Amino acid sequence: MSDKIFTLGDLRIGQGGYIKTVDGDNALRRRIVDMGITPGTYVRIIKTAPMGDPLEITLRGYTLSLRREDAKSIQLLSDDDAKAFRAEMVTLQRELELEANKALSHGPDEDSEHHRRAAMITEFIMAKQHCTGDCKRCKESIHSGDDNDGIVRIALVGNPNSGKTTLFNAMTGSREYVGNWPGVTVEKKEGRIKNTALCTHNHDMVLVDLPGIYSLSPYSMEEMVARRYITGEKPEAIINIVDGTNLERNLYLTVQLMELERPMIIALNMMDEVEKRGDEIDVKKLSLELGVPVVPISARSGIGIDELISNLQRLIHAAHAQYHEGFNIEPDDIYNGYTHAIHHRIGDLVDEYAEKAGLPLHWAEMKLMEGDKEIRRELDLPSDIQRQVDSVLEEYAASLPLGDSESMIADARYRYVTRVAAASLKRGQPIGEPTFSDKIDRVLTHRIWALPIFIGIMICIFALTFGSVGAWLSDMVSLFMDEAFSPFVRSAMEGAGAMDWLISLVCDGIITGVGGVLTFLPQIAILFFFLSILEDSGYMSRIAFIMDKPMRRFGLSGKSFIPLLMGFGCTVPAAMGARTMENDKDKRMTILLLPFMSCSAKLPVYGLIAGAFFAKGRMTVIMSLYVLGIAVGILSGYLFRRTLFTDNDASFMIELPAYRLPAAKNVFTHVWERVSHFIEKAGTIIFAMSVVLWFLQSFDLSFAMTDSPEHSILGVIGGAIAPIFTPMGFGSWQAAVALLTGLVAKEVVVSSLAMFCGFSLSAGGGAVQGALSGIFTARSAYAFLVFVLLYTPCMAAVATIRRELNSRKLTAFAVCYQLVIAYAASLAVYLLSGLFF
Amino acid sequence: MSQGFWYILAALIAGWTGLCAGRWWKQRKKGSCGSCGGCPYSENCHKQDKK
Repeated sequence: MSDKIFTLGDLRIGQGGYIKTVDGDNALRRRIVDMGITPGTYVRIIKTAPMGDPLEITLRGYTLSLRREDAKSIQLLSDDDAKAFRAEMVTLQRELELEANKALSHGPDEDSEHHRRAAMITEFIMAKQHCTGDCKRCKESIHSGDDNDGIVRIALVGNPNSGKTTLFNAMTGSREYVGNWPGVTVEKKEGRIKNTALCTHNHDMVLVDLPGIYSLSPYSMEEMVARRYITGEKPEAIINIVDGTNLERNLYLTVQLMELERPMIIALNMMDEVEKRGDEIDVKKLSLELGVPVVPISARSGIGIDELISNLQRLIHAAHAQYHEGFNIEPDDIYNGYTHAIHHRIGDLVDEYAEKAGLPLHWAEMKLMEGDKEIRRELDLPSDIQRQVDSVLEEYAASLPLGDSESMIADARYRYVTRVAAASLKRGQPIGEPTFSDKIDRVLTHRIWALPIFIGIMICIFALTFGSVGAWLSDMVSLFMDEAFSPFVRSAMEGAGAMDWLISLVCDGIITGVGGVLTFLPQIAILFFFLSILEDSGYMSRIAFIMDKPMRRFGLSGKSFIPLLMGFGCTVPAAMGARTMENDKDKRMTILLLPFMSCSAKLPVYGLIAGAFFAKGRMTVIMSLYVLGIAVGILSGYLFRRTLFTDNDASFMIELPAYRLPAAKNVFTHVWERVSHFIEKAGTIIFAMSVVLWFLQSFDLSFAMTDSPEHSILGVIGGAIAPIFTPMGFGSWQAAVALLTGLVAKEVVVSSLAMFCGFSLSAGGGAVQGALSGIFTARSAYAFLVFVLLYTPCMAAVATIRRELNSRKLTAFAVCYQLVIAYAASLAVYLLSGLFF
Repeated sequence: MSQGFWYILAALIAGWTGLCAGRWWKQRKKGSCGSCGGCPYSENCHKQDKK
């Protein structure tokens, strides 16, 4: 064999090769191997992002993006060397098989018989008519055991972006957030399954939506959440959702789930897309091959969902029947004889400890063979057993030239999966033929045009949100509030003889405060409408792909871009979304930079001030704030990278999902969720703050009503803080108090200013400017906006940041850093603008 | 309309204000935006509890 070795990172677009080994640190290697990049697999580079990095590669019928630097840890063989390598592998494996078969107490044929029998039972049960719940098997199979709380829990597990949450929503009637990018769900969610009254025997059937995972390796937080739930909580059954358009990739996880020895059903999703692509999946054959009931569905269009729900009980019975029949997939069925023999030797050593730890035996053995440190810790093996296990594993790793036992097991799993897929999948077009998504990607991820297109899309979104459409709709709401609703309430109350102070509380306090914020509801709805379209179409992952190289220059990953973009909506879910990042450094840095992304709650403040002082350049002013936020975030990232987080870059791997036409239901559900949340917020905390502020503004320190706001309680408090802001030109008590109240919720800044200055938003920019002219000039108004943009986010966001960072010290640092940056930037803007205006 | 009605209205406004402020204070550490007692995307949202 030739000694010449290439790496994937050395290749250009269109070039490919066979994988020999995967180097790199443990976590990187494990992730690469789990993605199917195993020895002997053919990979080809199909494109690169702008600036030549990351790469998009194709393997096993799907595509994956990774950095060139990571690709350099994947060694390739030339075609000739690959032939020699594979021939050597075949010879070695044959020798090992012969040796192993002698050592095994039972042959693979014997197991195959069990496998077939169980599959036949599955088929029989699935073919039965709808169960009425009266049969004995039915009552036995869902045990009302003492160890459960009368709830039958079913875990929903699958790859990221395989449609779990869409299925969860369809089965439970929930409205959980869904998107077309990997990592939407970051924590488990529970919901009662609808329409299962027939067969539940008074048990509630609860579906548990787990985060998307590629394997059961302890690589990222979501994988840990999912596997701890399945092994620790032992759900009654597992629904494994498999993306039919990417069968091989998805079945890799299926195989690992089968090893967990829990009753399982496969929901074969995206069957409508499979059909559109011209592919055919023989569902019955797939079920028989795997020995697991398979139900074809399309979670998005609702096809097959009713059948899945109405037959759920029967399917669980089928899964339970298999389980009680003693069938579950074993290493015997998946792995070669030698691996099987090694697994028995490991089992002899550790089974006692696995049982003690409450872990599924086969799974614990296989994980130990994969070198899973978490399992080793859980098993708590005595040192002599550990030594024996290590010696068996060393022997195993040395048996084939694949690098290590982890690669050998992943390779064996993929071989099994390839066999199963080959038997049940008939492709409509050969692998490598450009799909519809590929054709769109030729433009949207083009090496030169990708960035200008992305910037263009963002400009369009902001123009529509803050420009004519958004502004017109906001004006309509404002007109209704100020010209119709408020005068009507005032005259009605006056006519009915209400006290003056109560009229003032309702009209000048509540309606002005709450109404001032509600005025900006249309703009928030428009912003979320476009963000939802970006997410649901599949463009979000492309943004991560396109932006990885530029982001790396500032110490961030392309994956950071998704939470940062979500930060334009709300910092709370964005900070939680950062959990999908495998690397702790990237995660922490992303969370620290999130508050600089201007959240939608700040939008009303920009709308108010920009509309009043910069009527003609309103959109430019608002856009400049968004750009400034991004620029401060990038510069802070650069600074943190060189001071706080100096570790090496983490790996970057992302799947680019197929483009889909955004589902109207998803988009409008998302927009409605945000709009209703905003209305709810206006009716609760903004209402409460308006009342409190009215009280503090209307009474003095001796609790007597006062007409002079400067002598009110608020005036006194604000007056004490105001000098801090004098250098920036807004040293009035009103501005100081507005900023203080912004810590509760940023929208309250608008309520506060509307109440303190007593303006009507519908009166137009000139009138609002007149009302605010006592506390702002154009220069100080812009400096005020800069301060609002950059200073500490609301308390809810700070609490979430604290929880996600898991560090009080870092959170305190973040809050102080934001305050210092806000002050410095605001001051700089005020002083510099003085040189020109 | 009798003055009693207006005092009841004022009491209701005060009660609702107290309730909202109290709930916000109690839930603020759980990622609450101060409205529903939790962000709709957080595990602490009351919408999750209702299921």
